[in-house]
Amino acid sequence: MSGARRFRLQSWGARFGLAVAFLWVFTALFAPWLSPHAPDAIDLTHELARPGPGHLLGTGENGIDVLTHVLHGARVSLEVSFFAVLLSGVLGITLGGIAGYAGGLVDEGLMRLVDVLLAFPGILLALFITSVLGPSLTNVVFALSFTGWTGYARLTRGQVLTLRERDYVQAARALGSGPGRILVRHLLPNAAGPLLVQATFALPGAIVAEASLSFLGLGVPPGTPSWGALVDQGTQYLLVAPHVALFPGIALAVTVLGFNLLGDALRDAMDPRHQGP
Amino acid sequence: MSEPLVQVRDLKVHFPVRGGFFGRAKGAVRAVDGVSFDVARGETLGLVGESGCGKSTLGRAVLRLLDPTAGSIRVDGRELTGLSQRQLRPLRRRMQLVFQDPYASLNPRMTVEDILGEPFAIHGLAKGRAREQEVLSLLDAMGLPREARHRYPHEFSGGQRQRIGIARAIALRPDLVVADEPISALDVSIQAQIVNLLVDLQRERGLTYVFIAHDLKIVEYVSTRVAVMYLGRIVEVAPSRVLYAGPRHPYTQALLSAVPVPDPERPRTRLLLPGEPPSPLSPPSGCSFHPRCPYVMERCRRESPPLYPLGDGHAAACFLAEGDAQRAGPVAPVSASDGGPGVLAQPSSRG
Repeated sequence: MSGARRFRLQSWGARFGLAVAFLWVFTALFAPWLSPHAPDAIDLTHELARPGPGHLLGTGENGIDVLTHVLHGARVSLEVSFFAVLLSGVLGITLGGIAGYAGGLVDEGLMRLVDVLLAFPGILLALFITSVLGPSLTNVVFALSFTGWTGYARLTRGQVLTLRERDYVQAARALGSGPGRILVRHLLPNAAGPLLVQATFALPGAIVAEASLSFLGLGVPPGTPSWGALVDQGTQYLLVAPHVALFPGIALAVTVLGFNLLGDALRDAMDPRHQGP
Repeated sequence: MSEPLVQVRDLKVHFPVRGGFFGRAKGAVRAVDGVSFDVARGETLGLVGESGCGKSTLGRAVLRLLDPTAGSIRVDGRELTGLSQRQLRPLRRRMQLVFQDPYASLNPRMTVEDILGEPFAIHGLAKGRAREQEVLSLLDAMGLPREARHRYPHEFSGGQRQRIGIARAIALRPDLVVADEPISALDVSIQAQIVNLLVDLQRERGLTYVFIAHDLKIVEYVSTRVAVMYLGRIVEVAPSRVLYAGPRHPYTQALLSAVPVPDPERPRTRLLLPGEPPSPLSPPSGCSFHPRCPYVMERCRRESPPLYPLGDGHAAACFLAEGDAQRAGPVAPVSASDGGPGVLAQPSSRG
């Protein structure tokens, strides 16, 4: 089960994914220092200017610097996706663990709730929540977590159901361990691999969801630099200034692709059938 | 004579089989179906039988790792049935389990030190340095190097892993250890070492064993008494020597005739049983062994024979042993519906 230790950048996909992840986190953390302009700076004399020396990626509406917004957009997408994955992970792992270990009516009740939430398209539910609560980063995180925990809950429950019959869990019971100790010391550490893979796949999902909500105007508040919001702005000028939508679109696509490849590589590394040399 | 450490009376473990729309019970697998036995302090009770006869289920039910459907389990005079899992927790240090598969019984994400320290952690015993000392003395007792404590289970061989599993079981100095096929997953060359380790530990620490196995030779070697199980019931029980010298139940006779004898001169009369063990979902009427029994009588199809006491702690659940029973069993004395003369003429193969 030393899957994580076997993961040594064996494929180009893993390398690419890891590089994208590092670049994304780095950009998000240092966006204010990397950006050539302030995110709220406007340059009305150079509205919708093509990429050039003053504005490397050109300008958008009211002469905002596209590069600055792309760099700061990484920050928003990191914040939203990190907290959404964290919150839905904590929620899902806790509820899934309880459902799997307790079984019976608790399990039945929680899993039917998961079924109900999964029956709705997640983005529709998130749209509903943000339109009720109003656009803000916190509300976007909340809306994404409201549906996002179901995946973790199902996965954790399944893992707990298989692992709880393992002999070492029986041994812990035979020694007198209570359910809390068994869950924390024996079940969750052994379920960590698949959950990590799930989180890696959930991250690009949250990034796209945030961008979609912002594209529709129901994500971040107006004026906040976000990839989705920038693409939304760019679609209005697609014929005259395609770079406004193009660059945030590329940033979004590359990030999502990178995390998907990273997730693939992690999943393969966890799979004992893929034991490379 | 002191009270037996373990007293099991009429223990039943049935697993409901669910189906249909609302998961209603359609039937039950009678894994253990009315078993009674005692285990005296310091002795080893061997439990043998084919796969699926319920011996592992019985072992786990005695430790209350499975909830019994009916019956009574007393360990050290204390009734265990009816206690909640929470109430059982403090009692668990008195009774432990050794597992069959040493690869599955150790948490792959814990070091040996964590694995062996866990019993102490659970019961709030020996902290810090004291716990470390306990772990070290366990490793010494198992013949494992002290550096082993920093390593993970996957770094050890099967035999070493089984030693770690045994160390965990005896860490809190239990009275009772249920060993569930502790050697059948090991290489033949390792089996003897582990058996000898278990025997030595029993002598040093005064352990009481319930030793579950299907290897009859090893059971004979380690056991004070042996109980033979078939389809959820004990069909014969006797002191080890007595059982191996003179099995009375036809099933025991068949089992023993299957043991290879390392003597080419000795003629072998293998008693082959027809068919396979019936499903415990729908056990046969009467004696559950009757469809495969070479000595089957009409009565066997209708009545279930009780364990007839035959003296010297020997008892067999077979009507053929009824004549030798020391006192009348709960079943009415021989009735007119007995089997024909051919059946009664069968040898009882007393040594």
